[in-house]
Amino acid sequence: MKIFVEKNNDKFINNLILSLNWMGIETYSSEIDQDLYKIYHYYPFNVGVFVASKFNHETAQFIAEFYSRPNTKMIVYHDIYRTDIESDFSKAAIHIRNDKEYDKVKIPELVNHFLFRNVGLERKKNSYAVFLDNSKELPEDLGELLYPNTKLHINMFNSSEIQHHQNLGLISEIDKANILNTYEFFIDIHHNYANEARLCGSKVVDVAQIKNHKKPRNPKNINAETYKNFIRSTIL
Amino acid sequence: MINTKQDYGFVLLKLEDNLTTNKLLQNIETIIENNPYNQICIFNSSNQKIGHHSVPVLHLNQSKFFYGNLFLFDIQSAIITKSYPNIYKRYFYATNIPWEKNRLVDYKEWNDMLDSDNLEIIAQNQYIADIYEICWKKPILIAEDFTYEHIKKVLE
Repeated sequence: MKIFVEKNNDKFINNLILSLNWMGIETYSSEIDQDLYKIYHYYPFNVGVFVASKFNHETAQFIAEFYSRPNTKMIVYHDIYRTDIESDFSKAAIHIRNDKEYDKVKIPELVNHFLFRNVGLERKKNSYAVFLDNSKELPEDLGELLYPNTKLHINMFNSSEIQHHQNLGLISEIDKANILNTYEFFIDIHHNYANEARLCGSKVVDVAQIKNHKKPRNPKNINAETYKNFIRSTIL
Repeated sequence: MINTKQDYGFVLLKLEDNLTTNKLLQNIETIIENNPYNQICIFNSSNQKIGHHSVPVLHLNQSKFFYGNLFLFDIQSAIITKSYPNIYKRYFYATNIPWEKNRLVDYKEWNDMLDSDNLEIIAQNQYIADIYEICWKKPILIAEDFTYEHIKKVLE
């Protein structure tokens, strides 16, 4: 089984690629850049995962040409919902999406257990991590907690758009796991990495809790499926 | 002469004919006068200075063989000297916040540079000191000017 995943800098695609590699499944990921046929020539894959926001005529032509071949599966990941792709390729491809309302293949809440786990590193006391993840503006309430308003040790990561002295640069999923293993608190502004933080032993807080000096309540049970199970049930 | 932990190298990548460089060289001269038994020199790669300062200047290439401590004045010097094997401490004189403008650089690179075990930070003012403490590590000293008087605590 050979899998091709179109690169896209988001949580799902990044963790999908990492999990496939950890599971020992032969995987190749890259940008397509109008080279999909060339990629297929050098790496004839059985499963292709394509990203809706980057979908173009070449991808459409490729799926139409190859989907009916034996042992072949085409998957479109709707990072943005493209109804045109879904209707044009309703039979040719499986459509997956991160949305509660979506009635086709909805991506459940997923956690990459291979990567996000507590490895017992020393923690920086009273340190707070924030993943901005391509945000273009700072959340206003978070700004109230930053220097010079306070001297809290809040470090923000992963936005090239926000110029701020506490924004410390770009990070990968592996860096995120490392940060969640070394920071005492995690401020989950996008409600996207709370489960991962808990698995890594970082306490999840929100801005209001910090302002009101409230202690975080972190549930012990984590209700999320593993990427491994999702890959087995949907991708393979 | 045997090299000691009290030997100091000053990494000044560019020596230009301007007021800032003159002032800095004067200060290094004063440090030499006050520490006559220590080996003190400048490591440099581009020298456009018509000098009358009595400070030994060696090519930057020589710095990798230096035993002792290094004073650094820019982030490039911190990158260059990161893996030098014979350095006891590196003192980075922080006058700005380089990661704020270079937002496309990976966090890992900044972390390797600025949260390194043998790197100590000397901040130019309280604002810089606060930011470095919040983001990386607490500066050991605040020194408004890089003068002997301001930094002699580090040299002692």
